Amino acid sequence: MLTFLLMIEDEAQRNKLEEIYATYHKELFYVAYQILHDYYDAEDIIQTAFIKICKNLEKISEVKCKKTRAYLVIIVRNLSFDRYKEKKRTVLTNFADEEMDIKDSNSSLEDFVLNLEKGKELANTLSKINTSYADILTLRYYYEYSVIEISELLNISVDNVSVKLHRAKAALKKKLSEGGTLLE
Amino acid sequence: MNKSFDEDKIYKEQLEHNYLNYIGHEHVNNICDDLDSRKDDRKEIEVPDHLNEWFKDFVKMEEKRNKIQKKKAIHHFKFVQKVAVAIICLIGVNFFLIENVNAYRFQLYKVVVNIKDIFTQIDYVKNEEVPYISIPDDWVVEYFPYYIPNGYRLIRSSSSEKINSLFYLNDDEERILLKVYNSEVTLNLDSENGKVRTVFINNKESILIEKEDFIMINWTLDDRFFLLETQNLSFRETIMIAENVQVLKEENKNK
Repeated sequence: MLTFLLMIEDEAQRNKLEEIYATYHKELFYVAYQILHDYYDAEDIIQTAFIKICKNLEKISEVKCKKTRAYLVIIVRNLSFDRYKEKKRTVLTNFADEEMDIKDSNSSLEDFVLNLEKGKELANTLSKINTSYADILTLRYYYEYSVIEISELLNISVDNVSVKLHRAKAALKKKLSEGGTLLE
Repeated sequence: MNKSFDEDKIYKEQLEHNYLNYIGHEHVNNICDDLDSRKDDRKEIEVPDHLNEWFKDFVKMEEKRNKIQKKKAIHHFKFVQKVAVAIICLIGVNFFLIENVNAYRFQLYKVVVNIKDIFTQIDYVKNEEVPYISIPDDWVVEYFPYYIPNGYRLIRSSSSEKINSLFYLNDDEERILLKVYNSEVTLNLDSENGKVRTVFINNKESILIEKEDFIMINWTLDDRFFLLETQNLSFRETIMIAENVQVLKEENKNK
């Protein structure tokens, strides 16, 4: 009985992994290639990403949906950014990040909840400030990952995740305090 | 006041969490929209064939790894099952032996009693509660019962060439009688209508007779025969008295 149950579980997991690969591997390869401009590196990143996805398969409930699609893209592009940094041996910083002095503003997020229609624009702005800020914020609050899980998924330290989360929230607050004048 | 402040804080945190969740949701939509808008660019990029080959190998490898883990889990489960069966068998055999084999029951009982002795020997006992330590002047035998239950006092002792005895009574007139015989005597114990069984006194096989409210134990030590008779005393207490019939300690010998 135990063997039978384990087999069913194995088969379901394998089918899910194969479906994810069949559905998204081209798109993910494209995402990695767009950042790295190198076939071998992009291939390597996809392999690393699928090893990580395999470890987190139980968190994917539905394969063909926006949530899963974006989740896979977030993993691949953050791994690609890391690889890019390693290759260039320089710290990749978004110019907007350097220009923006991100400090906690006095405004709080709940003051702006009424501006719900600006959520999309705000997410877009945050992504432009620093893509990984938006990704980590999304992993934390949309996918409900813990800081430790994010650090394992994206190969970055727990401290780094915490700092990025803090900066992402501070950047959002700053944008909100500017009265909705969002970066274009 | 504080409660209200805490509630406000909780609601604000929930609101912030939900708003960030909403931002995340929009971020997900943006990612998908962005990918959709670049659908045509994607067609120009070829995915290397060996990525597919790698994936097939990876799935096989994962399957193999899962099989090994599964085998280990099943092996572990079977081992636990075997241990459980062994424990149940052991308990069953023990139960059967306790029920049916006197010698085994008694050995087990002795172990329990010994453990209890070890853990109860720190009990504080006042000196006046152990009158049996005083050896009668006419006691010439080199053995003496070093344990007599509380409440009993020595009424009389007698010594002769063939037999020496100690007689104790408590307030309810219940007695303990210890007789020590020389090896030449032949004992005929009255076991009529009594329950006879074998017990072990200091690892030596002995005969125990339970009859009405009396228990009698007969055992040998060196060249002596011992007969202990108790009235309305428990099996455990009777065995303890017998076990504690020991060689006289130096400080107790009559000078």
